[in-house]
Amino acid sequence: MEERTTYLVMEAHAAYVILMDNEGRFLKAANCGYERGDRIDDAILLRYPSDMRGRRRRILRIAAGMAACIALMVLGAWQYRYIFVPYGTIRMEINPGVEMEISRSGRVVDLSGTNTDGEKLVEGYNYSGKDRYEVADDLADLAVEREFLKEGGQITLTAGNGSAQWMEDTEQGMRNELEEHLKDYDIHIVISTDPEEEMIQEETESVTIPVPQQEQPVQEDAGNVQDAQTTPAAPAAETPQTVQPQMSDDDGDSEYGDDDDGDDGDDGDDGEDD
Amino acid sequence: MKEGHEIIEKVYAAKEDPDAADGLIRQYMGFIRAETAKFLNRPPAEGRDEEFSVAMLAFYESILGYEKGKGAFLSYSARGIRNRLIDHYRREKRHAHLSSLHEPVENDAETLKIDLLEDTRNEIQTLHDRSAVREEIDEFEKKLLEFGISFSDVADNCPRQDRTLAACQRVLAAARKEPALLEELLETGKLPLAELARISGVERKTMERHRKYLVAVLLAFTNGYEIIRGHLYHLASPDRPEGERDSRRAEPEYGGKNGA
Repeated sequence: MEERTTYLVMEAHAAYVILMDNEGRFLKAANCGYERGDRIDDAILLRYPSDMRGRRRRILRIAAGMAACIALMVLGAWQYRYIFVPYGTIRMEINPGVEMEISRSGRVVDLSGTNTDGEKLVEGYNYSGKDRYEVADDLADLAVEREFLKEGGQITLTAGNGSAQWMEDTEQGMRNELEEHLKDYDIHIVISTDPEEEMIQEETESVTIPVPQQEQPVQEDAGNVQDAQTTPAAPAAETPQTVQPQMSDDDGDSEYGDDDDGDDGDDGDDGEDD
Repeated sequence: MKEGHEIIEKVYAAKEDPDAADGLIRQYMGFIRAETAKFLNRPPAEGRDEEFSVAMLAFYESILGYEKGKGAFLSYSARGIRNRLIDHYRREKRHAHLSSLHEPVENDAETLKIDLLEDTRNEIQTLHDRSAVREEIDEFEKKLLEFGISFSDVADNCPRQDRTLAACQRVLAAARKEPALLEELLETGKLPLAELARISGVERKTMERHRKYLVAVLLAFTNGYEIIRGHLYHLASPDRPEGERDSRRAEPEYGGKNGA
């Protein structure tokens, strides 16, 4: 059984007492009404400021170490993403077609042929650790060497998957690089849009937007109707005819508000039935 | 401004001199009480509220820790008192489920539980014992003062790391096997560091750093301090294995008071 530590009060001051424990430690503690010669079981011990400073420094050191580790991990993850994770693709159509997967740093992380000749072209080619320009130059040289690419030929470059800015920069950079590299040959470098992004334009359709006929004010007599049709201040009667001229078998009236009796929709008697 | 300089001077004097510290604490007792009252939301009852004792200890800690660059002393110590009281409150919360003997009994608000407990102690014997302990401590203090050492010096010089304490205990164990060394200490008033380093295997530098503490503990094991030696029962047997000593080391940093 563990022996309990007891303290002997050696000296009492207003704010603190000096205690001696069973192991010979001399300690300062709160004076909770103790007197010299008392034996106590528990004490509220003084915290020496120097010890607290040391403890604070130790905590700071640990915190700084942990922060450095976290920063390293974050930086490492970011670097890994920057160097090794594919960000976009570049397709080179020589006529063998090849596709490179490129990280943000410009390093080629994967290379494949998009057709049989393309697969043959990249077969045995070691692209690891090389950047996009170096691989593009090598592939162009290989294509020339294997007579896939001849004078007057063309290389079509298509960037995909990355941001619009990245694609534009990459295509431009690759074109400049290949033009510089193949300046001794008569080979055109062309930037193409991604065929997947090419939208088939739909035929434009004519859409008829019916304009609702405005209610004619109730006319008190037939003479006024005649005036309303002849005066230019009667747009409601004219507008439907200009919008829908295709209604050749029309009865000469808008169908809006038509009550199937062939009149002008006016419920008032216009004298036609008579 | 002049008042500010005056208090700083007093604080710096109190860092070195326990009597000056007592004087400063007495002078600012009202301030300590006010800070405690702010925390408790009521005036503290002296002798009943442990928080007041904690606040006084925190004020003393502020005296020891204060430096001129840390702003006004009273704001600094007010912060120290508040932080210490918050720590105390958090630690005491662990014992919240326990019932206090100072609580009033049910149906009678004026009677405390402790008043109903039967006191089995022999008061006369206790008084006699306490008187004997005090006499011995007084004697011990006088002897220490002959070496120019006070209890406060010993407490400040006492090793606070277990490893250093164990080294000092090895020195004591070695010295107790060579009574001639204790005699030499009494006669010359000097710690025979070279000889102690040789027989204990503890570095001389460690002993020099804790010289005042070592003198106090070695003096306690010279003739005449039976009660103090009896209290130091963890050190009583020099042949006891060190591992056993360490396993028994309990440091209750905090707890309720339990006077003798």
